[in-house]
Amino acid sequence: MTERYTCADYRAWLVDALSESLDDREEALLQAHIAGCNGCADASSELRASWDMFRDLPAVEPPPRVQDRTRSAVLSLMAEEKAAAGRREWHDVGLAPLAVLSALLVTAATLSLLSGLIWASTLPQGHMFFCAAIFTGLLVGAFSWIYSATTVNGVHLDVAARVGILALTITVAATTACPEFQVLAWWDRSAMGRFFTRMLGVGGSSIVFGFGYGLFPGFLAALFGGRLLAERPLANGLVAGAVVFLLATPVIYLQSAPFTSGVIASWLAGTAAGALCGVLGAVRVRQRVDVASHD
Amino acid sequence: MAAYQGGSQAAFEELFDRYAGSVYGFLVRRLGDVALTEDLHQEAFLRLHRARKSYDPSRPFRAWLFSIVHNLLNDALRMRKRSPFAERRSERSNPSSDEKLEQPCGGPPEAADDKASPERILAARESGRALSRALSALPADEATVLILARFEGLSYDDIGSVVGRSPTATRQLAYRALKRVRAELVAAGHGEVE
Repeated sequence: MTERYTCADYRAWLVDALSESLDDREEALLQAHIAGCNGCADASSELRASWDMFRDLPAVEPPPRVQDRTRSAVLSLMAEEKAAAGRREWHDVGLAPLAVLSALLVTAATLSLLSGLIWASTLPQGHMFFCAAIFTGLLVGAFSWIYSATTVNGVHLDVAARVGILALTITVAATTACPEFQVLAWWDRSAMGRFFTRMLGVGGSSIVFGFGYGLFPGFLAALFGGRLLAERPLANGLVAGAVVFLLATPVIYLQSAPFTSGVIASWLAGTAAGALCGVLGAVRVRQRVDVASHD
Repeated sequence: MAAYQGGSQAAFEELFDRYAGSVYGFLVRRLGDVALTEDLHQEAFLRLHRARKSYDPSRPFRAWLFSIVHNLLNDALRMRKRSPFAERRSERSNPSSDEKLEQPCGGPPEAADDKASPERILAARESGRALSRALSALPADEATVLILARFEGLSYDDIGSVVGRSPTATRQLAYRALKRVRAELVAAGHGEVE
């Protein structure tokens, strides 16, 4: 019976024997082996001596102030969560109708804007910008309401959506500031745009522009998402980046309307890559800041 | 645990009363640094709280709890390693290594046994310090396995799930840890067990 086991097997059993977790049969086999094997007998007494050294040490108890501090920290967190849950419930009551209303407004604004574009509106350009700003604002509102009902990794996406508003504000500001309605057209006419078009072609130039377009808001979203980064920085940062990208996509499409689908796709790809790089950069920055603050 | 997952404060209090000492004991024995232990004790229970909804009731609770604590400990040690000033700060917050090591393994309190002679108390305290030093000198996973097996009474299967090793590999770690502790104690002149 004992021949099936090697000394290595018995030595693993020695460890179990110390915590009295062998069954009767194993214990009997082990004792029989030890009786005939000097090496295992020595190992057994050595391990037993080492194990027993710890026996008389008293239990370590946390000082009362440490217990109190830890207990209070968790209880405060529980209280905060409870209060937030109460607010969230209230907030959720109005969420569905507001989301529907936002969607209706967005649809109406989109239709009016498209009708202006398609049927060559006589509105001056300033009004077009105004329409675009309203459209984007409503779109962001709709997205925010939808995201606020969605939780990823315990984080409500409205946090990320709010940061996404920044991306759209930048877009609208850029659109308003430049003489062309389409930002991409402005880029193509700029010295940088001409340089990249010469170097990489029209598609490559659009990717570069999209990259810069996504990089900045992606970085800001991940960096200032605040609690987004608390527990799972990369996963939550990517969620923030994805939200920024989703929010930017309709604007990109709107502004790329006169361009070919290849150019639009290049811009979108560049924006996605830029948002991703921005997020990774922000996560890295946050980690460095955390390390420094831990010091 | 189900009540705690549902947000019961009373359930948390009960769980805390039951495990606060174990978590503290594990950290202080593993780190040998009281100041860092106190910080991590709080963080451990905050992490437990945040992770409570992911607890799988089919898994032993203690193994799950110590997985959280083990990961926290690794994060903290990694963080400390990355920081060039951390070691110096740690040294400043722990003025003497004897003072640092004496408390963790809890050398017997002086008034614990009125009949004990001063010589015996002194010998026991010396022995406690030597054990603490021996634990501190162990490789990280060996120390974790030994502490969880010896002081927390976890099975090797459960400890394996905490440190991410197979039960066989965990037993080997325990075996090596005990041999190393013994060698360390013998080298320090504490080889004879009373």
